Amino acid sequence: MRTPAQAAGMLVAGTLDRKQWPELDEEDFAGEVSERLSMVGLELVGAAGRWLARPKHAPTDDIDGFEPAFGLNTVELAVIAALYMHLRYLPRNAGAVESEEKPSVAVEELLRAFPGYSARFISQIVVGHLRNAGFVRRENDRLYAGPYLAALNEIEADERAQVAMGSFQLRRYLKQRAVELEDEHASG
Amino acid sequence: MGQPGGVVASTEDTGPEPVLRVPEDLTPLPAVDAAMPLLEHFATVVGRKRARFKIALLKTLQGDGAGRWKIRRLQEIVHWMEPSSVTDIVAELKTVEVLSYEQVTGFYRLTPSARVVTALLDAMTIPEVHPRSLVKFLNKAMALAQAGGAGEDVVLRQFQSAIAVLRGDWEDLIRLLDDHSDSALLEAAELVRIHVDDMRELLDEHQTFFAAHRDRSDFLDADQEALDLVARLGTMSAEVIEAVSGRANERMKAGLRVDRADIREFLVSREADELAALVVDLAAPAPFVVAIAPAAAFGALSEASERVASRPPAMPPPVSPDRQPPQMTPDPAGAMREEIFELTQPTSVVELAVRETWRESVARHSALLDAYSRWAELPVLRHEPGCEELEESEVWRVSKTTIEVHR
Repeated sequence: MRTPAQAAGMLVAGTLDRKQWPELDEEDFAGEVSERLSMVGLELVGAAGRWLARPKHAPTDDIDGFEPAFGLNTVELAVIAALYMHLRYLPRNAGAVESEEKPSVAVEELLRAFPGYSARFISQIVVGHLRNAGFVRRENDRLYAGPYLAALNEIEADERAQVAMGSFQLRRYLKQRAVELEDEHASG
Repeated sequence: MGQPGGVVASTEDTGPEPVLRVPEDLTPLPAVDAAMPLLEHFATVVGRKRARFKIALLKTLQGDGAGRWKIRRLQEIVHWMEPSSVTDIVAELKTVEVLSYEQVTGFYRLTPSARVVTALLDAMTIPEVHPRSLVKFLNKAMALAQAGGAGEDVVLRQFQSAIAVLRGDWEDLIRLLDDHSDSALLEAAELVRIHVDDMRELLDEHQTFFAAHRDRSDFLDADQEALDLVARLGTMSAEVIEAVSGRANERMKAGLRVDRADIREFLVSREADELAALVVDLAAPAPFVVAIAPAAAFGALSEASERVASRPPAMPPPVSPDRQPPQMTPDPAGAMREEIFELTQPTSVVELAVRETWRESVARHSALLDAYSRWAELPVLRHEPGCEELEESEVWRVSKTTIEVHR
């Protein structure tokens, strides 16, 4: 007989396969697990076929005496953002036909976004760290969303991505218009 | 180049006399010299001691309806200054001929030049020229130049200055498209729109002047460039304002659908810290630290420390390579060149190149072509119409060409 206390104990040490833990789909069981997790600032989230415990608020390191066990540096966050754009934002916004296949992106595609960094640094060190941290899975040189990427607050992340993409596309459109207007001038 | 007559050098002008590279007639200096009596009024009012009091006094006089004043009336009008100080300032202005004095009647008047100078100083009594007003200012300067009869070249230069403002606007706008600040872009577009409106007004107001100078290509070029910039900047600023203020039109929105190529281009265009900002307080790593069993850890350490690093095999002993002279390969073109030099009379290409077999004939013909392509001193080739047909060779026929050798 598995108990909420056992489940909560495992969730602060790892993730649980959703198929093998049907108890967590039961309201009472999941409620008790959530309550236990919330006592230490965590929340129960189901994402990418797994159950995981996620901090309710990203810990900040400006609190006296606090030093995070795992920190994400700028490049790691940038790679997470790139993965989010490819694996979460694009499938929802491209108007693509519903597909059985899980969204994935080639490692080479990810490397294109970081031309200033060595391929080894991004594909081995950064992606390796993110894979260990549960943000990404790697199979045959393709990357899939890991449970912690799937568990990102998609409303807020999508909103930020939308603003950034919208601004980028409008500026690209305006630059194209500027070229057209200059060409009209040159030919006229 | 000497100091022009009648021009008073500033006491602060201690630097060496500028040296011209062209005759003075080809510079703007003669026009400046001619205008010096008027321009000096500015210097006498603005460039000397107690300038602020003199300017303020002149501004006050300009606002008074009367055209001439006795000293007592002046002291009343300039009520904000002690009467004795008014008398001192008026005396100074009289000395530099900004105010004229009628001995018989005892009246002071503003001279015509002083009235213009005062009006301009009054108009220029502003903290700074705001970029918004730049084209409008230049427009009014053009009108002033025309009213004063300054000449069409002066007006053209002012017009070109206004065009330069628009040209700078276009460059700024394009530069800001690469910047990520929407507010700076919107601000620039709003400024551009004002400049475009002012330029349209300028073109309307001086339409007659431009029409009168259609025979001058420099006026036509400037007019054309102004019209083009107005059209370009008008369209661009309107689209930027629509886009940035969230009122993107249908044409813009059509380009807002996202595909893989868009994502790729977007990601490449952003620095790592800009991308990181998209998820900065949303992505938190897992809250756990993996527990490590000491026995497993030390077992792994023991296994690792027992490993022996592989070493590459020893290098083989050194061997001296055999040195062999390079093989000499025959050069058919060189041999053909020698044969041609040995000719003593005009010889046909058939005689020289064609032999019994096709293979040998083609090889010799190729060598002949090669020789002529390499060396210039070979005898001239004379081409004749028609072909020579051969009977005792595998070659059927060859065009008639003779090597013109005359010894």
